[in-house]
Amino acid sequence: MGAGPQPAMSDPVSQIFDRYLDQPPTLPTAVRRRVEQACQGEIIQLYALADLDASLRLCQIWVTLTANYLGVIRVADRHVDEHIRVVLRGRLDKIIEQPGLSCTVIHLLERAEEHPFVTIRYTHRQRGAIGHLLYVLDQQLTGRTLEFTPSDERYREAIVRPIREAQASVSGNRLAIVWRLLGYLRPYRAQVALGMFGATVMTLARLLPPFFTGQVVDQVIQPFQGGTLLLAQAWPLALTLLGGLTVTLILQECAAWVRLRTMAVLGEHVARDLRTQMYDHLHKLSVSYFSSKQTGSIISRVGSDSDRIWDFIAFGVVELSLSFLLLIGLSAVLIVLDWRLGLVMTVPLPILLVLIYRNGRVMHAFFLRAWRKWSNLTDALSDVVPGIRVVKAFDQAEHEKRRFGERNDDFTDECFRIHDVWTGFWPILMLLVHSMTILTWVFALPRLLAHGKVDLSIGTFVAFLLYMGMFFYPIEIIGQMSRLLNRALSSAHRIFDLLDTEPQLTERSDGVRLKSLRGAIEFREVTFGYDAVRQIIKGVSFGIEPGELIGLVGPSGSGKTTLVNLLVRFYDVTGGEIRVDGVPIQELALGAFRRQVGMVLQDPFLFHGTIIENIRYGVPEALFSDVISAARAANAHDFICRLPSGYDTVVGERGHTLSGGERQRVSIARSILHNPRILILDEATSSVDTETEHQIQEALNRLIAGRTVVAIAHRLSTLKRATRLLVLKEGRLIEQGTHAQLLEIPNGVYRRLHDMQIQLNEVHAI
Amino acid sequence: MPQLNSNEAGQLLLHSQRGSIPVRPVACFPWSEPNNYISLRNEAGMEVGFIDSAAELDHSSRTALETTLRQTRFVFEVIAIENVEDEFELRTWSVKTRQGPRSFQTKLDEWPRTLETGA
Repeated sequence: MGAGPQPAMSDPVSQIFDRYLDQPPTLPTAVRRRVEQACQGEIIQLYALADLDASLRLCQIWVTLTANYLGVIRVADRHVDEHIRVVLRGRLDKIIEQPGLSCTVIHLLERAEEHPFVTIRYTHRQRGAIGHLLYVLDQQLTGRTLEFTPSDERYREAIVRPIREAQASVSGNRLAIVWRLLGYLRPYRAQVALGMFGATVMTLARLLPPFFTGQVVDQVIQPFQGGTLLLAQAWPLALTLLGGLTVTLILQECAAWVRLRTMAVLGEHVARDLRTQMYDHLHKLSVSYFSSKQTGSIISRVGSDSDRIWDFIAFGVVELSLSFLLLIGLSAVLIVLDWRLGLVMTVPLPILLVLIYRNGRVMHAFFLRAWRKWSNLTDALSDVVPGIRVVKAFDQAEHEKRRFGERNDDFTDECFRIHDVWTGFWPILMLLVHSMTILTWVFALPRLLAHGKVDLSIGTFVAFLLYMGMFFYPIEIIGQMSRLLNRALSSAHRIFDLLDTEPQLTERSDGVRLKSLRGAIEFREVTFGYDAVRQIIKGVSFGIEPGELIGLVGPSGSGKTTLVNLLVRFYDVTGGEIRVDGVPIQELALGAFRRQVGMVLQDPFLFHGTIIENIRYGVPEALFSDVISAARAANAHDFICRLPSGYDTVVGERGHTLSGGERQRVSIARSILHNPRILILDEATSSVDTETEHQIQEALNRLIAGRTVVAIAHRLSTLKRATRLLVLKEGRLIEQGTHAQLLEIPNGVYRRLHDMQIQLNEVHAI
Repeated sequence: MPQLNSNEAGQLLLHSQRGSIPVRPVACFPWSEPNNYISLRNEAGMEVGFIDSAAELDHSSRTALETTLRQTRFVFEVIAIENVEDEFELRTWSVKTRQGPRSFQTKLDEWPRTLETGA
């Protein structure tokens, strides 16, 4: 097989390599051939670049894996000749990783306490690709063999991903963005046509008044003053021309009304479509997207960015295309009126347009930067408002004010810079335009003042001057629109960036719909890491029977929450498999599955709305009486009845009008009503008073009856009741059994945790 | 079914084999279901009875319950809006209610609010 075809340099990944990365987009064919030869002809399955040598100088060292060999080849450069080493993968016994600030060193050892037989050093840029490789070697050490079909994509994707994620701020292909934006007008073809029609009529009508004026001068005033036209003839002619002018002006404004109204409404349609599409898309995105982006940035995309698109659609599209039309029309009219003067006006035109375009490009970059600073500013706000108690408690108001002030100044400075650019540009542009006026006079005056044969009539010249005045209008519009266009483009860029973010979880369209889950869960050799480098869950296997109460126990950071996130498929496993009722979780229809899974979290989230709306969140059609029974079972009924508006009480944002224990019980009621087959329980560590604790405990006991429950357990009572406890440590399942069984393991992790808790409780009791 | 009547002081009494105790009716959904789902609470605030629907009570109990409820769920019923005046952050309403003319203030951005149904 050898090297795959070298990808054409035009595809986006190669473009990124070309533009931002100083390394080959794939393993060079010659290198591949050399390595495969040295590996007895075995095909390279996986490769990565190690870009540092022993003296930490940048270089090109390729690390390759075949079925049985590990090949390391250094490409010849100024300092050294080509150098190749091939070792049997079977020799590997231990991997030592030494992470540094911006480079990592990996030692591969044959046996512990031995000199490494291979050492690789690489910068963070290579981390993803090398991570894959190390993962495969790591798995090999645990006895699992991972086979790959040879492909360049793993390497390319791993290297490109961080750049692509950061690319939101990099200016893309502007023409493509405009084109895509215009695509949103497609459903509204009729309105666009109407708006264009109005604008065309308006533009054409605008061309007429100078013509009438020229006619009045040449046909009426001059002949009359020259005595060749009688008063009786002059009046009707003048009135006719005046009438024509009036009709034209009325027509012009009517058309303007049609154009403005149609396009303003149309702009709102498009902005609404974009907002809806973005919001719908947000719901498709995985949990990980929301942890990587700040709320402020998402909000400003859906909010102010779509608003700027409205600006552009409502005013930009039509004005811009018509301005060009008007410029061409005017040039034609001017040349027809008098070709010599006409040329004086039209020849410099392309230069002006190029200037405007180049100015626009500069502005685009400034706008993007200004947006980033704006997003910084809103982030500061959306960060502090929910955390205002912490700010007050730690008396950090001054610090936060300073932080906000700095960002505010930063954004304002950026705006100043933008204003500097365009305000400076405008007078210069207009001066250039005015110099064209002067030039026209310079050319026209000798002809007007010539004795004898005059080849330029006053009427023509007046009409010319009026048309010339109109000439500035489209130039001004184009200039202004370029600012609008750039603002809209940078907004469109961010909107499309969001829309183009692929959900990390892919849901199969033919997913298995389990009508009613039994609640059997099986983890088979599950591994998972939030990034390619650090594994959080390392080869965990266990089975849960329907109706079991499983307690997850372990020190913080041991992977309990991650395990639970995998079970409800907020993330996909990187290795191994999770089965629910015998079906791999990836093959389940996600919606139907999640409807049968309930979660009660440590800090329950209530939405702004009434208590009954919150309890009915999962089952909006539930009856009032069912809501009450659920609330009773959750021990929430009594405190709800004490509220003046009962179940109709509006709880504020995140339910902050209720106490922690009350919120907890409302959320339990929500879960009871939801009636899930599988229940995930994240027990609160925060201390509530004994009475509340008792009430919550009672509620939980009712909730878990008859379901498969996976609880991140802290309460001793839950631990004792659990059918089995799974003890996690550093991502591995190290002990399992009942409370009593686990306590009998001498020096067991569970026993230690338990003893510590008992001691703590004693302290509390004192 | 619980047996209810009201005493001279206007208190609602719940009768059972053990005698009668004064109770306070609490509507679970005072706004969305004012006549149904009534929780009966004793003086300590404990639930001692529950009425799913007033319709299932006998006539005298029902009258007693409704008389008491009328006080607890007293609200002004607006029949006409006379005048609305917007100020900075505050909106003053002058309205005619079934109980007489009245004026009140709301925060500018809180009322009128859109209902879930879009009305």
